[in-house]
Amino acid sequence: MPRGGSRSAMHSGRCRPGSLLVPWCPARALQFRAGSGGAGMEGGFGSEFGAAGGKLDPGLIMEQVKVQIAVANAQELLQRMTDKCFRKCIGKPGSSLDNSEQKCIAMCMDRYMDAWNTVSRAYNSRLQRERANM
Amino acid sequence: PFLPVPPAKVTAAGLSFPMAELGGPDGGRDPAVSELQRLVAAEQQRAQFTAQVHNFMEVCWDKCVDKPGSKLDSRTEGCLASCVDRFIDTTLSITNRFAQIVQKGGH
Repeated sequence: MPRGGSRSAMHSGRCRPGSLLVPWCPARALQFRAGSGGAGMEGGFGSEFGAAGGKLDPGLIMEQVKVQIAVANAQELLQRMTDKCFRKCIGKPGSSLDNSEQKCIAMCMDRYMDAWNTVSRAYNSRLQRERANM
Repeated sequence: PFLPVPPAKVTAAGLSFPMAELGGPDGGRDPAVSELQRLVAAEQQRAQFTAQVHNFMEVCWDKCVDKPGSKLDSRTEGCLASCVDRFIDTTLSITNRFAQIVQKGGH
């Protein structure tokens, strides 16, 4: 999976934030959603969002925020990629996707992600240049 | 006893997080809240960057990519990079000129 050039690799020590898609610990995220809590914790809403005994745990909350963001980003990417690749690869819609159309779609997906990374790098460079000039 | 965390809303424009509501009415006293605000602000910036890349892709893909091949050739790569810069230049150009127009009492 290509990595978005701009994303810094933040390691919480537990979950490894991934590249374009979901961080590498869906199991962990699900564990929190189940509201796992120890004895004496009031459970439910509080522990689910990383608040143990009334105290906030920024680490746990941020893990979930990052997962949410990654999922939303992946959805956005897929939606736009589908639109672009449909336009590029499918001429007159037939009764099914033929082999050439399927091959085109596969290549288009790869090129779209390559292009995404190129654009990401270019934007990052521009931002750094602007910052240097300030 | 619960410190409610308001839901983060992820939109195409980036991440909107009701910063003021973090930690509830007593959040001001909890140092973890300001730490959280700092971390969330960083994620907001990152999400804004990503959203902007999606927007560039919307325009630049059509301008630069003809038929998707087995890899992006150097001409296409160059076009994509230039597209980003020129789009930003255009935005700045329009912003500046529009400010002038408004200042002169137009529209």
